Amino acid sequence: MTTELYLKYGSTYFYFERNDLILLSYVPTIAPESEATVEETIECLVSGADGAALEQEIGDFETAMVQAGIYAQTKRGNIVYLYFKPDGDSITWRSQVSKGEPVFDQDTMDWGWLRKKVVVKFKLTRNNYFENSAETELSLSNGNGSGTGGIKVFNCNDGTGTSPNKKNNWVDIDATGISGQKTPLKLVLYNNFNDTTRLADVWIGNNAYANPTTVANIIEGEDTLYPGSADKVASASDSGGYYMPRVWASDSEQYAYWWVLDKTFLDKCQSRYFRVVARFHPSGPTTDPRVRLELSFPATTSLTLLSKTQELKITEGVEMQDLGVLQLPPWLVSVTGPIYPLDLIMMARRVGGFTLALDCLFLVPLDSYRYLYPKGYGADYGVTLVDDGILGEVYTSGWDTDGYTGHYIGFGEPIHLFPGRAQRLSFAIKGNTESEITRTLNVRAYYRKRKRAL
Amino acid sequence: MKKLNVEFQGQNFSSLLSLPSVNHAVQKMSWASFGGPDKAQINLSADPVGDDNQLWAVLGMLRSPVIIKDENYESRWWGYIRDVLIKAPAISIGVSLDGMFNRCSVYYVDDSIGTGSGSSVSTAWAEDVDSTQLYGKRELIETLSAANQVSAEKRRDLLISTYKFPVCVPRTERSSRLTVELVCSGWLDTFDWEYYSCLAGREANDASGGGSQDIGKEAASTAAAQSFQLASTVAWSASKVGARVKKVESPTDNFRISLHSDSADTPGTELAYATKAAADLTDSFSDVTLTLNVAVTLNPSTKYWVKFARSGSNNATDHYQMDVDEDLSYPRGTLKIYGGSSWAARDPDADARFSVTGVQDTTKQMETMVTNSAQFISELDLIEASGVSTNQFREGDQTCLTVLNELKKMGYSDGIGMTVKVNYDRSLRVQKESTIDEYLWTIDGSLVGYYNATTPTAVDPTGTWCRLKDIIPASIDAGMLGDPTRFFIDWAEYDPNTGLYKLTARGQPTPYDLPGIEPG
Repeated sequence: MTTELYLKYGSTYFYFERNDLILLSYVPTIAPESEATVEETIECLVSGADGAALEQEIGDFETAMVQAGIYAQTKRGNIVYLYFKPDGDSITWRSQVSKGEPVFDQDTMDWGWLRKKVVVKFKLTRNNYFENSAETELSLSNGNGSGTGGIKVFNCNDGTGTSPNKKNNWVDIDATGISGQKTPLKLVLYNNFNDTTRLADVWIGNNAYANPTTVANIIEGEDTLYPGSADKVASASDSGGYYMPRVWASDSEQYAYWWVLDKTFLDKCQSRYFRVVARFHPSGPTTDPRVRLELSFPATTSLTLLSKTQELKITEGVEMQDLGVLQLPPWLVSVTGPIYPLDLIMMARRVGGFTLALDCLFLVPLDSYRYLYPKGYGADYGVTLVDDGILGEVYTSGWDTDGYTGHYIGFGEPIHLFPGRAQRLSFAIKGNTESEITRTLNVRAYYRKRKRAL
Repeated sequence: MKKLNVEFQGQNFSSLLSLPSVNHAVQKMSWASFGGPDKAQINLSADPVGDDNQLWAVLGMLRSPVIIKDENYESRWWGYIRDVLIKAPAISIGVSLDGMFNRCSVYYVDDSIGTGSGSSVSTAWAEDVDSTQLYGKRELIETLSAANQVSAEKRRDLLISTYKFPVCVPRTERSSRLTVELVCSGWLDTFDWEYYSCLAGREANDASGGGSQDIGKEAASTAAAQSFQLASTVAWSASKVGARVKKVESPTDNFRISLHSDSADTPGTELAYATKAAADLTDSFSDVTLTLNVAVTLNPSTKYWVKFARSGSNNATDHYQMDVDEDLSYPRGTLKIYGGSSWAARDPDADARFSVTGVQDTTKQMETMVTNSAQFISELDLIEASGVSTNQFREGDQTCLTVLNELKKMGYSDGIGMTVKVNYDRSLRVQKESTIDEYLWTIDGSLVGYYNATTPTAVDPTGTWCRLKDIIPASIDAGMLGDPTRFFIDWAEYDPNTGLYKLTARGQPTPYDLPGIEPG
């Protein structure tokens, strides 16, 4: 095997080692992780039959750099990559180039040009990482199967049903065998929910640090301390088979729902952050109280407020609503061991009182978080929503009339893979009018291994 | 340090603006206990070899809503773009909403030859619709010492045409690469854009027209009554009445003012009354304002009467006089005299100099302001009514911000202060000041939750109490000082680059306040 080093854009190549170019020196530059780009030099001896031939060789490099700059500025044309396959490495690595220029040393116009052999330093600026030139699909697993090709997730995690219709809202990624840097994923979400109500928002969180395979990611409304379990109402359209109603007639602020978070759960959460997305019993709240979530201590008596989310106004008729972010628990980041139980309380207030019917709370982990939001239409049954964190694009495909659309916006960074760790992607799914617990997506995930040092 | 994220919206609040290839860096952000989000500075730059055209496009984003979110995408600061400064290698261009006015009225003293009243009047409001639709209303009241209607209106129109749009101004700052500095303000700032007028709460004739009317001197002057109707289009509760009165010689009874319904264009049923002892009046005219025995709800488009009489018998020597306006300045009523057997118009005709005023809960006044003005505020989010009532009438010569601040300063009836902040959804939250300690401020400038709970990134700590942690040594004797470790956070600034806070206690100037003269 030999080392391979070349530029490629579209079907055009520029090799740094070939008949007329001899690679003299190349050492991949390593920059601090905070740097987005690195500058490095590839030194070659360029030879030619005459001056015009020399200019042609160097000009080909400049042409590539012009295209690199055009794409970096405008995303027009082809991306210019530097491909590098070290001797003995089975992977060909690539890194996007954004600019560059040939630099000549002092002797170039002296003896070098006369002899038609010049040493040229090809300076270029590229991304501060190499990635695998081949995209790899990750093996995912949940109660509906494992492997590549797509795994079904539901808008519910009560575990009812059997494969291929077991209600899990997550997929596991076993990345313990994967090395390298944290790397963005390309998530392919196929809307396989055969209904006229379109897919709307999708919340996606990756849990890589809070006991991903064992921590609970749903808090059921019927598991409240107050109101008590006697008040729960059976419902086949709600998670766990129940929802919890709550009615309060006074203007004053009052607890709506009150849970005790036990020590086992809190210990597993490892003081990580979670976004709380509430699902209300269909067809959503009938009043619009202002609510906030509180964590307080000690459990069941709630004497001391530890943390709270920002107060926000519930929207009538919307089943899935983002209630904000909680750190669980909100203290003792460095302490290992059982954490004393805390109360999680949803406080609510509304002039004239409020009426709520809560199904459950989704806990979307924020080790890596993405919120996909359609500007208007959403995605029909059969449409695929792609969040390509590698390319940096969010788009849909698979419409009745063929063609891509860019009407989804991604908030947060693209979901990242944490190499070397078991992790779990959790989903909360909103339809444009209803957010059924039976609503599903077929999930596939792709990645390109990343390294800074080769 | 944890990265903050910035979202921009279109000026219509309904669309998210996308600025791909533009990097943003929040330099600092501040909050105040009065208003919530105060100021933020955001620097923009293109990707290392990005598209500069997108940066120039920011010039068109004045008054665009801005939301700064923490690393978990929780909203921490919200407001709008107030200033844009684009620094280029050759020149810099700055543009600001300060100095833009798109709605104007001119107050002037009418000196029209032959017809001038010599009194202060104002032109109607005029506006540039294109500017107000894009940026919102930003009002200006200009004052002229002497003018006529034509010249005042011309002045008004000139001001609008000159200042209706923000003007780009070249500046001296330079930058090797194209960069943009955004200065953003919180939404409370926009309360200063509009003048606040409230006609409810006062119905009066303050003009002194040089006449006087005997009250209770003889049968022909037994009593006087002024009819009135509300200028306000909403009902309000009257609690006080007033007149300009003096005693003649030495009456010993009371001067009496009463409110009446209308009965065939004469005073009908008495609704409420108030009295002033003769001993408390002088022989010179003075304004007296009396509290009615009961509050009376006054409705618009309804005629009422305020009646002036004495409680005792007529007396040619010892009686009362009230100031009347023979210039007939009051447009919504007439003055009648009770001659012993019937009511008749006064000859010469006049209007009484009178006032009927009411009071209203200060938080209710805030609600009216939010409903009728405060163009960018969605609603009032009231936790608890203040229990403090003041007269709600506003002439319209103060901005909403000035009025709101006055109402806020009155606090609650139990003496606790009031916190007024703009919420994330642009509702205005009004509640009692917190009395509990919520934060600890450490010696390195970081903010910690009181129970050592982790403080979220860039949290707004204003309007709460804070204690200094491990700063003042325990050995110091602070027995004769107010607790030096505890203070109310009135203003706070967060530096995302360091993760540290600057805090200002109540009563202290912020680092950016200019030196000035303290009131009192």
